[in-house]
Amino acid sequence: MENNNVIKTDNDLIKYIRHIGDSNLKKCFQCGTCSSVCPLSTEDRPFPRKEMLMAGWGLKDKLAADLNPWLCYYCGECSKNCPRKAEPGELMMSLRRFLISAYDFTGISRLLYKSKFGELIALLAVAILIFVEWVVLFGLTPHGATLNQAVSPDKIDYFFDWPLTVFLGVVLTSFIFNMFKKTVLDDKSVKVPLKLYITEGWSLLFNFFTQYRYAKCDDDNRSFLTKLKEGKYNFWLTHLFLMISYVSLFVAIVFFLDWFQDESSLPLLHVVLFDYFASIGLVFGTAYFIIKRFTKKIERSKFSHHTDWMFVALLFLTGVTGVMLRAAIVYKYSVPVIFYIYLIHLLILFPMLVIEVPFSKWSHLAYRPVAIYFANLKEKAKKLQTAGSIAAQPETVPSEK
Amino acid sequence: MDNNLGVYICSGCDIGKSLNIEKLVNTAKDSAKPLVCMSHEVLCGSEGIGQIRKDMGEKGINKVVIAACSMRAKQDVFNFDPLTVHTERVNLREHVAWISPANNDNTQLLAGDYLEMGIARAKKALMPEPLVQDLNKTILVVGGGITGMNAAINASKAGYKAVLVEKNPVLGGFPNSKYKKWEINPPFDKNIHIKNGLDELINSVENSKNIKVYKNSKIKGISGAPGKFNVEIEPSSENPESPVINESAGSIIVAAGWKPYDASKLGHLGYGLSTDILTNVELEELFSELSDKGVKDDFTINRKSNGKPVKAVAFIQCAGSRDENHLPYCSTVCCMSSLKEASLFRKNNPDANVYIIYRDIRTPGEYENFYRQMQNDDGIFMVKGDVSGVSFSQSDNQINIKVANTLFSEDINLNVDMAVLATGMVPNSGEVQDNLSVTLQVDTANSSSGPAAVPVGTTCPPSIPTGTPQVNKSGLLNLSYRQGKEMPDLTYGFPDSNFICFPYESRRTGIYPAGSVRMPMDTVFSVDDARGATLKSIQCIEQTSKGRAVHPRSNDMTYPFFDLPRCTQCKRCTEECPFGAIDEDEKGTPKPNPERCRRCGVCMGACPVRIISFKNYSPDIIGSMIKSIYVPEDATDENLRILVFACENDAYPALDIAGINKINISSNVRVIPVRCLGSINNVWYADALSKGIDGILLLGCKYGDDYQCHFTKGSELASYRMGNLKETLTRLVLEAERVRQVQFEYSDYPKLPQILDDFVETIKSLGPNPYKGF
Ligand code: SF4
Ligand code: SF4
Ligand code: SF4
Ligand code: SF4
Repeated sequence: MENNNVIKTDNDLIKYIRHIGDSNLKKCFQCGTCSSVCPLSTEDRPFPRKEMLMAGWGLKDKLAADLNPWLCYYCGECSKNCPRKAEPGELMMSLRRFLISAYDFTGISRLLYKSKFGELIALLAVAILIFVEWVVLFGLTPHGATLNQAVSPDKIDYFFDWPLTVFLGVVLTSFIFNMFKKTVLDDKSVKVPLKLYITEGWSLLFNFFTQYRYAKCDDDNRSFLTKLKEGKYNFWLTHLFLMISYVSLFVAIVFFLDWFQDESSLPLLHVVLFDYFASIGLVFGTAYFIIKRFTKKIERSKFSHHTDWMFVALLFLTGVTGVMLRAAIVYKYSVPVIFYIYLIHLLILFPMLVIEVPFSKWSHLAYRPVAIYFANLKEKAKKLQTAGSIAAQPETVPSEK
Repeated sequence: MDNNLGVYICSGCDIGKSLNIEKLVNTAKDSAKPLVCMSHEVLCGSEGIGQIRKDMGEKGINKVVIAACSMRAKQDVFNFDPLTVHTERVNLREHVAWISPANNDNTQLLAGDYLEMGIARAKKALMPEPLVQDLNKTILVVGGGITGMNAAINASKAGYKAVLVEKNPVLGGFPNSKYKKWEINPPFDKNIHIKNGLDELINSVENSKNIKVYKNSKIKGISGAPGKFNVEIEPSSENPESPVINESAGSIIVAAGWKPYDASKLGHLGYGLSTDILTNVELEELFSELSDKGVKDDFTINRKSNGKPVKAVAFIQCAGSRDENHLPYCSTVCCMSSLKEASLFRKNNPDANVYIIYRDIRTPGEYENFYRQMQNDDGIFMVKGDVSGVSFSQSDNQINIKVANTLFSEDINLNVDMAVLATGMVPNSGEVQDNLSVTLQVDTANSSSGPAAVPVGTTCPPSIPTGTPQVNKSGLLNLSYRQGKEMPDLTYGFPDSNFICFPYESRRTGIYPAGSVRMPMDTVFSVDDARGATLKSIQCIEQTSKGRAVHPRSNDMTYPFFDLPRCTQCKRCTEECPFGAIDEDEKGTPKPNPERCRRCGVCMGACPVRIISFKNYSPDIIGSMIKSIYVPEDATDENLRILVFACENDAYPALDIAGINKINISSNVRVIPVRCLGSINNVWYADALSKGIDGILLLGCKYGDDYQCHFTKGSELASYRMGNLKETLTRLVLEAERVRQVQFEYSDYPKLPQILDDFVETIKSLGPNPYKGF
């Protein structure tokens, strides 16, 4: 007897999932309403119904290998229509948290998700490290007449930005590889041909930069413009705006820090892009999400985990201090003022980047497009396989006779 | 008896506007010479009624023909003592004025016919002579479980004596072997000791002065009829020397309960592989044993095989239920009991995981709340799927369950320490005895001996009634009835009659199944069932002792009279009576039991020599109604005459509703209400066809598995007999299509014009009856 599918239920996992979200997962009686109203769910991927069951049974390995949570954008249609008020949309959110901790082999994310204080302590630890580094490099008071003398951009690059970038790159890549292994390599039912990885590469970039599936969340048949006017796309567009702002600022700061420390030499395009577009995006975007989380009017902001709050709060503060810093530079405030704002900015920015990016909510920025990419790969590979086996049949059938 | 006829014609409610009342009055006067014949504008008003009563007093009117509204309307007003006055209602309103064009010759002819038919019947009808008797009013309760005990208590509370017979040494029935029952009140999360309440109930039964309890006893035999059942009670097997005791009873409540489905037939679900694979009933017994019959609560549930605590248990729902090869029905309780047992596992073995493999979780009504509570338990795992295999590995003492078609969209395997098969309920309605099956001997030699005065219909070919199964079970009531020892089953062995209309009713008058012998149910529903059945049996006793029928012809005081010297012993009545009311002697002469009779008239319809009749309903009475129909000789389309026999239970009310809705109906039609289509005697077809009637339509209830016939088999028998009749028609060169039966229910009334027009068209295409004016 092949025992390959012997079910192992993990009661601790159920507890953990309950802990990291507000879904009433056990209340589900598998009616399937959620999957039928979900605009993104398909016949082959009947989420969130199947996830409700797998979570209710605590099927850890199956859940860890499941890409579906990343395909859900929490439009909340499922939760709205669930006759048992089991909050399937929130379960998908909880599962994303679970997946972040499952891809992270260090166990840090699990800690952050489990405990509010854990997260605070971790953030604080990074902040202290940054503070010490700052004092060692630049002292407690500014040395030098100009900003560039007091806080050398090169030193920031060498001792802060670039080590961070390397750290993030290594950690995230290893987590993504872990994810790849769990979801693609270990799935014996499908083997993805090498060629597909390259031909499907476009979907990775496309989804990263458009978050196109977000727009599909609302799948009624009216025209794009009407829905835009009605504000149906507000959430998606804000999210997109925020994400692009964030990414462009991150890239620019890491590679072109000089621009930001220089009060005069900026070409016009950069001013528009960074001083206005990106900064507004960051501050406005985070404020928008904070308000949504406070008012709880829409499904996806109904429940907030402490990591959600921490993430938007830190992002908002980063944005605000960043804007203040830039303003101080442009309006030529005295060097000590800029010096301290700079320090505060880094004390917020770095804990956020070190902790939130690989271990917490931020990582969805990386996992989501990758998951869509993997899901596409598997789907295409499956199609090729069935096509292949159908093509192979005519040869085998006559030989059997 | 004097025929002091009074004819009263009402011209209210559009009747006067539509018909020439004066002409009608003259018709009545000419044909019947009544003592009184008058019309009135509002006959149902105090003046009209006053006049009728005055005539009764002064002129001794004892046959009142009221030509006004339907017999179903104004019953409270035209309400004269049935024992001294025959009231004949002629339906000029719903069946004439409201459905036909006003002031039209054909409408007038229709009204004239109905009036003549009513007068014909009134002249021949006799007053009923009810069989008033001093009868035994004790209620026999068979079975001392929850239903039986509640029935006995209810009877006692209502002031009746009860005799309760229980086969086991103790009362309590199935719950005796159980530990806890589920909570039926908010918050629905507890299970209650079954002992609470049960002991109380047992005590109150045993201490009641009105209830005589026979434990360790069973029924050896029952003879008689409602109000005079003679019950022989004998000890259950254990002590065979004890004497047989005789008791009398007025009516019987059968609360024999259920037995679990035979699990040895469930080998495909692993039963028998290991002692750890048990049925839900065996698990209940285990709970009961471990808890010391409900004394202890802090016990661990251990595996039967090695005594180690159960860590993982799987419940397999619908084990042998909803399965054509086993029990085709849902037992309704096993979902709840598995949920309850699951929660006991979780309470007593907190580390244990409980898996429930279901096809559907069925927790009706409030029970849904219990289900919800159990869902919230993190250690209970449920999934829909089909168990495709159960195996047992001796080496590691594990049970492996394979589940296909799961909602995980893949097949799964479960390894558990214990597996529970949620088996269903089988009614204790007697055991099938192959050697007992009654073979019907129909004496064909006798069937052609009727006088052949009319061309068709006097004789029917041998009729083996397809409809009336001879019961081949025994062991529960052991009735000494001609048709078999137990109540007939409706389906799947449950003895019921027509569930929709008459709950608790069996096809044996005065015998009422209740509780899980009637249909699968839990103890909560059984308590209600006991109440209903008790009320039914009280009603039966009281009605019977007044000589009145129980439903559906409640209060009918007539009963069939058998003119036995003319009987040919053809046995048709004894076989076809849907209620087993007629026994027979050695020679085959029927021995009617009026107390068991429901007055359907099926026997009357069956009798080839027409010796069965009621005082106001007989082959002769209806025959003379048919004969009083005026059939014009020149055969134009509008002179076609269609006779409709309409079942009084559904079809006639539907015709009334059509009238109330002013739905136009063909004026070719003449309606005669019948008690049941099964009461139609073939002689009536002969009467009608020889008279020149062009077509005959039977409007009656649905038959077959989901029959709606109020007398269970009447409409089916009618159609069966019609099959025989058609052969005769063909011999007489009359088209078989001239007689048609339509299955019809009350709510079909909008279809009436269509049904009737269709038939009229068929008759038109056949042409007029060649025997016209014969
Ligand atoms: S709608 Fe609710 S109850 Fe139904 S399957 Fe989805 S989560 Fe479960
Ligand atoms: S939240 Fe929206 S996208 Fe996510 S599972 Fe529910 S319906 Fe689908
Ligand atoms: S009650 Fe549940 S387990 Fe029992 S037969 Fe019905 S559906 Fe199946
Ligand atoms: S009238 Fe009906 S119930 Fe009564 S004896 Fe005849 S067939 Fe049986």
